[in-house]
Amino acid sequence: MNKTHFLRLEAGVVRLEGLMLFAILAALLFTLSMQVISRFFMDFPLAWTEELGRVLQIWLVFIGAAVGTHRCEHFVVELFMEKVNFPGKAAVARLIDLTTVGFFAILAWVSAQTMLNGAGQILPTLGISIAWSYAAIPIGCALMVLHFLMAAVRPIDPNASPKEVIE
Amino acid sequence: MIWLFLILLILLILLRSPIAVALGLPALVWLFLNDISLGITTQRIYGTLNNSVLLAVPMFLLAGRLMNLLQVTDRIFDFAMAIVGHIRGGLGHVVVVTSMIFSAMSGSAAADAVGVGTITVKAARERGYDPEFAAAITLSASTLAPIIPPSIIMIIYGATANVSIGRLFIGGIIPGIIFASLLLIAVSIIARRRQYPLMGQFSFRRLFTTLRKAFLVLLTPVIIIGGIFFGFFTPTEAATIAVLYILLLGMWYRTLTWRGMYREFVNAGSTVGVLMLVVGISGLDGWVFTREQLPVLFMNGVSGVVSEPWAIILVLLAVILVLGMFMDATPIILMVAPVMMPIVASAGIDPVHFGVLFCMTCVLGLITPPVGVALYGVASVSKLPMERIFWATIPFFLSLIGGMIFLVFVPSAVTFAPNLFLN
Repeated sequence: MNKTHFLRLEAGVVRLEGLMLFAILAALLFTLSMQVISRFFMDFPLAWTEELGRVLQIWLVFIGAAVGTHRCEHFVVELFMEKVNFPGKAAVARLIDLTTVGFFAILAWVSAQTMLNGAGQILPTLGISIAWSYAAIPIGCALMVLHFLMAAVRPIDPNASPKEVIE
Repeated sequence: MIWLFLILLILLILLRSPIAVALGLPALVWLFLNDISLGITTQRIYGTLNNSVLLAVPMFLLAGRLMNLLQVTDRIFDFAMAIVGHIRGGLGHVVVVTSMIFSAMSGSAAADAVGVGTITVKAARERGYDPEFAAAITLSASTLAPIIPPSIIMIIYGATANVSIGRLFIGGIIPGIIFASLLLIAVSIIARRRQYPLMGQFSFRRLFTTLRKAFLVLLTPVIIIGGIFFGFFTPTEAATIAVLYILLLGMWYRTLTWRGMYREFVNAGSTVGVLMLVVGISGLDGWVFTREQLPVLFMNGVSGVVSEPWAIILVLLAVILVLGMFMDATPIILMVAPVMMPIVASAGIDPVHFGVLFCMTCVLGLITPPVGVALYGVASVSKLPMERIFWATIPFFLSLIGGMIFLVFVPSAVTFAPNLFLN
């Protein structure tokens, strides 16, 4: 497999993430609407809406953060690295990229363990294993690792100057 | 040990590490060195995000995105033009009024700066105003968005510091009106000095036609604020109703397309993701800070210097203002609020009063260089250099600081409304 195969694979993953994100937000909108409707127009408030909302929220955050990684939207403070020059700056920037990948890789591994260890616990109103909710963390972190790694392969910015694209 | 943690955190931020990593990596190292199970990381992240209060964030962000998609800002702008456009320096007044209405529907200063800025800078060029003036007033007025409810940073503050979000929202109304009035006064003074032209007469007919066009849009803030004010909805539910209402409006105006809707849902999702990832990871840091008793250390440090409540507030706000020049509002709240809250509580300061001041100070940081999201937003839509916009902003900035100082000494301006309505 060469570079274009990886890029095509990533494009497919991003499309899938987009669909998931849309579905999660739409489901969240439905769930929260049901919560309001059931309280105002039905005799009994629905019990499951609040819990399902929180499960969807975890998935929203981690799939959203994965899409955000692909779009390079994570908060950073540019100021120091933009204005100050020091020897070995490029190497330091590489090291930071490596720690970023390492951090999310560790988080993916650790959270997968936690998910499996806690799988016996059942969410009270939905009656499903809490692992369904926890799973968002390792999956999201693994996707972020993929996108951070691909950032090294991908052309830096579609709007970047031609010179940068050639590099 | 805690110093190693803080030094590593600052070093990572300076070296352009994503804030999520800069917050998370030192915590991993700390857990490892203290021989505590790394499983704590997942539990703390999950525990922080497993909070239904935070669900208001995605809903309000989605509402703001959809509003920009449906181009309702034009309708609000025309309506504001009909109310205050005839006064000298009319465009400046129009920008403040437009931002105020927009603020009551959206929760983010950056969305306001971009949404309103796109229209106003164009309008300023057409009418012979300095584009800097229009950009500066748009930037200053964008600070109203997180003060006038709904407000995303107030939700984050409320969830982090354990303060009622409904109370924070209602507490922001009077300060928001005070700030808007100060900006209007500043616009009048500048317009008189520079002899900006008068444009057109006030006409009831125009007011009526623009009101009719904007009426359905203007109902959005009524639903959101009214619903929370009278206790019909929680902030999360109000945000949900707002999204549904805006979707209906989009169908009514026939500006809503499936493609546009899909795009804005995904955009809102990724914005929420990166924002709340930081929220989740900061929950881990909060746990470490508590274990290391950092709030106690900080409290002893501050109370060694000052003891009066107003002096404590001023010291804390000064810290936030300096941080705000370099960082975004959300990370500041997440890092600083847990450390500051014990001092606030022990000095007998009302947490709602402090919370509103805290959020406003963070917002002032969004419009100041070197790092300011709202400043970047206005600079990019107006195509003016950041320095020029910022210098033109100084008079407005000073009047906002004046308003802040007033609110520090008059807590009841903040606490009066929530105490009256939400008891």
